[in-house]
Amino acid sequence: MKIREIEINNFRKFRQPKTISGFSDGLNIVVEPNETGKSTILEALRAALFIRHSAKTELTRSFCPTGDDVAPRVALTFEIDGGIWRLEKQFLRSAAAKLSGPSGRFESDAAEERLQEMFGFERGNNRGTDLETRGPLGLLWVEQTSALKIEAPSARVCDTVRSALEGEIGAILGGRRFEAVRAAVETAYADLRTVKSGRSTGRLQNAEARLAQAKAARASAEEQVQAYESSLTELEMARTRKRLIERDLADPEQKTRRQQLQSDLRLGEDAAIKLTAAQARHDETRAKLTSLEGQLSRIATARTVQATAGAVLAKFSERNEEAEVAHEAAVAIEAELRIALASARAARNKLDRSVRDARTALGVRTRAVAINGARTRLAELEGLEAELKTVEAEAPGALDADAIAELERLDRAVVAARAIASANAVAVNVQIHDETAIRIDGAPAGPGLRPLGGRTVIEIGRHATLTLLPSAADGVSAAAREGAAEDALATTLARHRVNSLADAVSRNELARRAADRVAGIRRQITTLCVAETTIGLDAGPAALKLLVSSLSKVPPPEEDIAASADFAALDAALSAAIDAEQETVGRHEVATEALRQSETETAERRRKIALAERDLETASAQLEQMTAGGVETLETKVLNLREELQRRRNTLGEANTAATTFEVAVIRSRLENMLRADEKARREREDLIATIAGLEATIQRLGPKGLPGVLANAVEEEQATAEGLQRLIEEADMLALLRNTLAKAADDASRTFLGPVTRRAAHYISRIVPGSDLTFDERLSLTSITRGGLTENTDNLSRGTQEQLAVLTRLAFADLLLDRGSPVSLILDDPLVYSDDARLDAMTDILTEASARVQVILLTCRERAFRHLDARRILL
Amino acid sequence: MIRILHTADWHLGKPFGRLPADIRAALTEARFDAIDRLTGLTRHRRIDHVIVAGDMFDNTDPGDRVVIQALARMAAGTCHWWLIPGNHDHARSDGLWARFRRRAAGNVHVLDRPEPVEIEDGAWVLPAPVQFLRTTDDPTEAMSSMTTPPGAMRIGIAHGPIVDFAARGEANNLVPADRATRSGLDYLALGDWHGYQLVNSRTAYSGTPEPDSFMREDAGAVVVAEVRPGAEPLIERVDIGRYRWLSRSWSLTKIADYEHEVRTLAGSVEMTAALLHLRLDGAVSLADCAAIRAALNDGLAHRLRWLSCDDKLMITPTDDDIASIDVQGMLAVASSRLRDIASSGGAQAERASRALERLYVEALRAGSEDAR
Repeated sequence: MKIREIEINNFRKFRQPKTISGFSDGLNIVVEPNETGKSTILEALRAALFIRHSAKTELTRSFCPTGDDVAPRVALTFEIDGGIWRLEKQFLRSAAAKLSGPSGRFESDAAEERLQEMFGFERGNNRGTDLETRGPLGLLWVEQTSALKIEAPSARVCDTVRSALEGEIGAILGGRRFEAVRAAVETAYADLRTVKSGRSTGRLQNAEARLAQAKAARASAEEQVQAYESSLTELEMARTRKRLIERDLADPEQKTRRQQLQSDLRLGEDAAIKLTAAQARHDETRAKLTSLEGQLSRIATARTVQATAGAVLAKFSERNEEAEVAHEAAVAIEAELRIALASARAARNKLDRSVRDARTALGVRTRAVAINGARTRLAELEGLEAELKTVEAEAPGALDADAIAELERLDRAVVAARAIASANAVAVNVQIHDETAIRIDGAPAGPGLRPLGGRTVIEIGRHATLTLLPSAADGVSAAAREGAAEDALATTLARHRVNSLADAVSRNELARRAADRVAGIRRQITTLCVAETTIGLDAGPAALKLLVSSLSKVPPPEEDIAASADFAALDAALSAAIDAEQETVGRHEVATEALRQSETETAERRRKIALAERDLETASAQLEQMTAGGVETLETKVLNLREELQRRRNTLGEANTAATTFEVAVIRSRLENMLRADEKARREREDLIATIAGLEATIQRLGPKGLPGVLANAVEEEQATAEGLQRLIEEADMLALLRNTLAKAADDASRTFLGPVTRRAAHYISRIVPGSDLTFDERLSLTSITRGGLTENTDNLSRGTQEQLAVLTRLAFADLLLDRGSPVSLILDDPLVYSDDARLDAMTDILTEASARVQVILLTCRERAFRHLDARRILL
Repeated sequence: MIRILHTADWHLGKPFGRLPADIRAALTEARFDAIDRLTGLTRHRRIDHVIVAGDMFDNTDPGDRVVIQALARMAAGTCHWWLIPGNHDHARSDGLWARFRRRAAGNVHVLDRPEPVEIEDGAWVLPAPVQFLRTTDDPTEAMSSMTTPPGAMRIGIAHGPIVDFAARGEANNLVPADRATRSGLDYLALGDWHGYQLVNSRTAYSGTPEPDSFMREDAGAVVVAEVRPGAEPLIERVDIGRYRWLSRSWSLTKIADYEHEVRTLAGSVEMTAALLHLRLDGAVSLADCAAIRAALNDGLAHRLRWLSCDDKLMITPTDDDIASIDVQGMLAVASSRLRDIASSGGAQAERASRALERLYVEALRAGSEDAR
């Protein structure tokens, strides 16, 4: 698309028709002095291409020159795909749209629709929510007029290439209006909620506080009204209660009832008194009757007693004398026998004494005899003991059986050795022929035959010494053996201090005999020293010796004092005396028993008689006393009393009935209750008077405050405050939604276009900063520019660089559209004001190159700056 | 013949808590001023007796300021005031009326017992004071048994509805419409109904002298009645109120509709004395909606004494509306998103619609700044 001509009339500054024509395909420079309406030209282009002719908005109204009431008009001639089109639009008054070109003429809405189609955004598609789907061509076309109007770089702070690009893209996609709207919304929102946490603040917070206050005020008012109302209710109740109590107190019916009860009480009390009296009289009569009846009964009893006692006395009077005689006889018998028994006992006692004396005497004698015997036996004992000592001293020590057996074995060995020696023996027969002394083994030898044994040295004088050596067949001569056996025997004999075996045997015999003798003496001693109880002698010689030594001081008895006593006669006499006594005892016992029985019977009889006599006496006395007035009179009295009692019983019954009719206790209790109730009511009335006074005071105090009105007001205020708060909450929610929607739109736009535009811009940036190498991060953000091998942080871009970036961004957009087959006119409003000469050259080169691809229209008031460019110049 | 001024339902001390403080004060003062206007009327028309048929006060215990203001203004007149308690200020022991009596001047008479009182030679009033807040008994029943000398004029005073509007048979203090005939009354002065209403030739509601709610649009009025023995009374309604309480419901489709309605309203009432409860509905464009709301808040609300607006306008954004926000770019994206939410009918629809309106307003504001 290429613009060929623009006609403007009645549009803002252009009150007169203005035609700008002669646009070439490439670079066009529209030179105009300041304030001649560059911006208006851009606005007019925008109005023609996009604003619907029929729109009556603030914007369209702003097209009208200030103070005029005319129809703003814009006509545009452009070429698209080789065809020439003419578009005419008139706004506000007689609004119209006309579009004519190679494919026909269109008017009004049809013209608008056709226009949209031509620029790649169809109706219904152009306002979709997705930026990508709605045609970037249209986007840029529509926006370029205002979007490409480069703002003074100082207007925004751009630290980095990225932020500069973002800013420019933002400007293209919405520009300052978006920012302004967003800022206004943020400000409005911040007055309600904090941006960070969404907490209430500002007006919303105030409204919440006001609602809390209103609620508190309402609650307080409610409480007060409640108190006031309940005071009124309580007062009403207290008054009603008081009225009721007073009515009850003054109730005439109640009074009547009380009087009735009191009269009933009096009647009841009378009846009770009467009853008591009747009861007393009745009891009195009954007592009298009982007494008289008792008297009669006692008379009868006395008579019976009298009769019984008489009979008893009569019965005993016949046999009494006889019984008394028998009793006296029994007494006499017993006395007699008692005397006999006493004499028998005296006789026996005497005999007892005689026997005892005799026995004593006998004992003394026996003891004396025993002592004498003991003395005799002691003498014998001493003899025996002396003998025993002798025997024991003389007895040789006996060899034991083993020693004897050894001796016998050794003796037999000697005998055997001798026998062997004898068998081998050499005998020498000595015959002495001269005086030469012959000595055998040193001993002078007489003539005779002499056996030799063993080595024998025979000395013949001084002539010769013959040593005879036994034959030494087995090494030892028989003689030697014999000698050894004899030595063994001799050694053993010596050890046992005996001379020979025979000697040993005889010694043993002697010893055995001595032992027998000792045993015999000991037996004698034992026999001699037997125990003797009469004198306290125990068995054994020691006891005997001890006894005798103790008796030695007592002289032996001189004569036999009891030898003459006749024990047998005495015993016989005693026995007879005992028998006699026993017999007397038996007889006395019988008599005693008889006497006891007789005494029992006598006592019983006497008691009965005495009793009967007393009964008789008492009964007679009683009878005499009781019957003094006459029995008949008594009986009559009883009869009369019985009749009287019956009468009084009847009276009592009547009184009882009367008393039951008026129950005094019940009536009294009722009366008391009534009085109590009255008293209570009176007290309650007094209390109520106090309560009423208190409540009246409260009401008089609270009433003038106008509490119900206060409450009604508080309730309404609370409602109004709550509604106001609700409206603010709704406004806050609405603003939150708007904020989020705006933020999202900005994010989406940035995301969609930042990458592609940045990529295209990079190419140009490297040219205005020669030798630079652009670095992109993962989000395709341009983060730094490397210049001359040094990486220069892109912070704090100069104004010139910012401005150049703005132009390049637009160029990148135009390229973007060209790539998509929709070339556009790139219109730049007074660009590159801040560029130095070097940069300006670079930029103009870039623009010149670009003009080969797209139509570039450059509006400027600085003709000189672009004079060197080969371009179509148009003067306004 | 006796000429009386019949009034009722002053509702002194009504709080108006939902209204801003200045309006509240004005309304409160207007109710007190009504007493002065009544006094002026009696002087002007030479009326000696004013009958107040109940609900003089808005509640059973108005504050002392209310009571004293009322009494002071009543004492200023030369006429006699005959009052009965109504349902709002019903008689109860130790309440309002005891306090009221203690402070009342000699020309103020509280008729809180159903006993006839001779107010002038041959003229008796038969009061039916409301004793309880709610009773389904007919409070005027006793009038039949109230005897007056032969030939005397009988003027009944009662407070209550004559029709059971709830139609549930449980209306309180219901007064039979033919009470005047039944009880031989020459005139029955009724209170409770806030608008003037002639029930029959002998019975009327005076209405309130100073309206107090949007429930009824009548101007405040009183009745001047000439009661004549043996003849029907002459009943005259006299408007006396200061403020008008109006309810309107406007269905709008464009700004022109609104302008038309405002013109109509302005032609029918004195705007500065009107309190308006306005309900707006209808579907309008974003531009019109913004314009209407601006006109309401910056114009009508200021012209009226008070405006309460129940704004149910539905916005149907036109293409122009959306274009006005921005034709393309991020604002356009945002506006079209909001429009989608608003037209989805979801929970956020209403909010989105409002957000769109706000966006519109803000975009225009930014645009106009741009243009400058």
